[in-house]
Amino acid sequence: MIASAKELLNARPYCFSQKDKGLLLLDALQFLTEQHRSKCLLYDQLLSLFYPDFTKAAALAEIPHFPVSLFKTHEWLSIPREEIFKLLMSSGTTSSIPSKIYLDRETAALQTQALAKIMMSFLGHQRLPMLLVEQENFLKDPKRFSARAAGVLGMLSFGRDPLYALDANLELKHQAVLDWAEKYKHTPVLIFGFTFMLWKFFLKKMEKFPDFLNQAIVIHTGGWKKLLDESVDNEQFKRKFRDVLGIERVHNFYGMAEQVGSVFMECEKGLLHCPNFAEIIIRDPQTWQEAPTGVPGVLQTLSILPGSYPGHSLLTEDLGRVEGIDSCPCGRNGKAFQVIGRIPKVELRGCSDTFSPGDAE
Amino acid sequence: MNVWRLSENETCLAVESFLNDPPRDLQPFDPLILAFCEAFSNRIFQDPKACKLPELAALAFWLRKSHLNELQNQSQSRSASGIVLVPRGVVFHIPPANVDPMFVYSWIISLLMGNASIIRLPSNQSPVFKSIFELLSLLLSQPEFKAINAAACFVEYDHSTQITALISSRVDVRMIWGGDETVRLIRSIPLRCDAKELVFVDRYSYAVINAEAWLREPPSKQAQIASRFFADICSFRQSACSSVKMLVWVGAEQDVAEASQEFYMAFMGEVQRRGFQLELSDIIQKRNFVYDLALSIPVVKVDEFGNELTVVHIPLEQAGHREHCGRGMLLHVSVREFEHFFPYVQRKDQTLVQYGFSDEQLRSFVRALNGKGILRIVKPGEALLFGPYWDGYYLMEELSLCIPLR
Repeated sequence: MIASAKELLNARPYCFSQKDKGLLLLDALQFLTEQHRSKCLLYDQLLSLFYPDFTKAAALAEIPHFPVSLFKTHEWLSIPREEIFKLLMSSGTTSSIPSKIYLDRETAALQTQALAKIMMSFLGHQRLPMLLVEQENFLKDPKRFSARAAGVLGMLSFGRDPLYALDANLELKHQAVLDWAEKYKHTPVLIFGFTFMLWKFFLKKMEKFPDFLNQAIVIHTGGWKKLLDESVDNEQFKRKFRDVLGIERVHNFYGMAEQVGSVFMECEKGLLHCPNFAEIIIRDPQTWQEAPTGVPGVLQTLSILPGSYPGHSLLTEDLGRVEGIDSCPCGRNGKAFQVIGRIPKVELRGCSDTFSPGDAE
Repeated sequence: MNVWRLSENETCLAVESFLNDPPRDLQPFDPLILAFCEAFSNRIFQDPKACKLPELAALAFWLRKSHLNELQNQSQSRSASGIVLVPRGVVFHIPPANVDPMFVYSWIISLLMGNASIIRLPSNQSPVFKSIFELLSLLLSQPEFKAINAAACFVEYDHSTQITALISSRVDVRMIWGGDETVRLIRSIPLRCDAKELVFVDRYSYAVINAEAWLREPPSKQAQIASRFFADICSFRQSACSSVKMLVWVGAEQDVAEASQEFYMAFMGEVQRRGFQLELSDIIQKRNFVYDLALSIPVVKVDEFGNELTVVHIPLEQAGHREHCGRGMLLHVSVREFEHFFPYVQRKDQTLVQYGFSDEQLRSFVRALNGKGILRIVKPGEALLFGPYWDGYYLMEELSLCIPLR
């Protein structure tokens, strides 16, 4: 790993000002771009076609990026096959075709290390008793990982004495949870789960148990799409935790299976933050140039972690907005932003759908 | 206006009686039919909202008197030699989901020959569809068009083989507009033994441009040609069977490079002049498709002319590629002679928009292909104009009984 990347990874995760961080990131990402280009034929082909004049990026926004959907249609490998250590599969939210992400030992280790940096800066250094709002038998085949399982497994290492709060039918194990809570009523605990799981299978079932664990820190991720029909947003989600359970510390994080480890945590002020080793760029969908602070656009995510596959700069299908740079009252440096939704999927009606396939009787 | 909602459990008496005793009062090109079409056309032109929608403007233009007279003359001249055309009877229309106004064209072309119609309405009804429908129902409620109204039965039903089968067993003609899947599904449902079927399946369309001819044109004419292509490429988000999806450039390499670059710039000029913009989701989905395509087949280069046009240059060997995302994407192929492209012509190829070729050349193309593919050749701007010659049929005769007099 080159010096700039090391420096970004080793420092406290939000310590660098945007200017200092930008220079280090540019160096690290330029290096990754060259590495992947020389090791991944497909990536080289992509750059030749879509960035024919590219040699060196003079700014972060010039680092080539490509649509994250390509992880569904192509295999991206910058390592020999025998070095594959883990295959991450993400079902994605908009289609049933999974993304495939190939990790070698080094990239997997970097992901763990990076996630730990971020989580510890929020949770402190001791491992907290952990309540997982998941089913017990959730982590099955460790060879073919779902990104969701990887997320849970990744979080497991930040807690101790984990309790899975749901049974095989996704029912809340009331008694077990209450017993566990009783045991830790004087300690801070960690509650982790996917946003919609927490809302549907936990929060709604806990209304009978106020003051349950008001010392708890809740960390959740996964997006709001599955909660659209209930029109739950982050504000409401947090309010409900406060009102029902007296829990004040609720942190969402944004991240993608294609860049595990470099997640964007929500701070006490409700904004998402880029750690040193990751960055976001908001692009104006008319010009595709970087949009100024406060102007919404399409989210691009950059991360120095992906070494085994060229996923260090990806254009997502999410919309976001930069809220400030080095200026969040929470004290974290770098860009603070919000995700403001997904680009709606409008299917093109081909000639073929007088009847949709499901209608064939 | 007769619109009936059908369900499997109930028989709809109105539709039953329509099928039992179909109206037979209209003659081919009946003056009443022509008057109705003219009134329909005027209605659209006078409606401040409707005439702004390009799909409706095109429909109004198609329905105007002079055009229908042309269709009439064409039909009469073909059957001058002692043949009398009479209506076939009842036509059952199953229109496509992607081109909203198609149900009107399908119905009117049948009506022109005096046929009665059962028209299945699409289930997801777009704003374009709704404005057509609104105007239509006003017009059909007028007393003078009572006979037209009586000969048209609009039906809505959730997908049901049973209902399709019931109607199919009673009609004289079935017209299916759909993708291959739809057509296959509906064709498996039997028709009455003496009924006939017209099917319109998935098609693919492209343009051929003579680079030398383009380069000879003054800039003003070039801009005009490019602006005509706008409708061929951009209507219906490039998703119709007749939408131009590929450009075959003919000429010397240098000429093609120069002409095509000029063309794309002129085309973008027209896009900007019209203020045409795609939805962000379309832009993203197009980009996803283009990246996927470029990494899946050999591609020479990709030119992005803003969000509304992406040009993917492919080698001639890939010219048989028929998957397409629509939404402002053109495949670009370059050949010295158009004949070099013939090996890549396929049966599903429908419309060829041509620019810069003589009638003689076009005739020789058609002769050489000899039915291999390409079912109509039109000028720029006409790709989506519906006509009586469609997918190899001459609809005026297909929708008539031809009675010889000796």
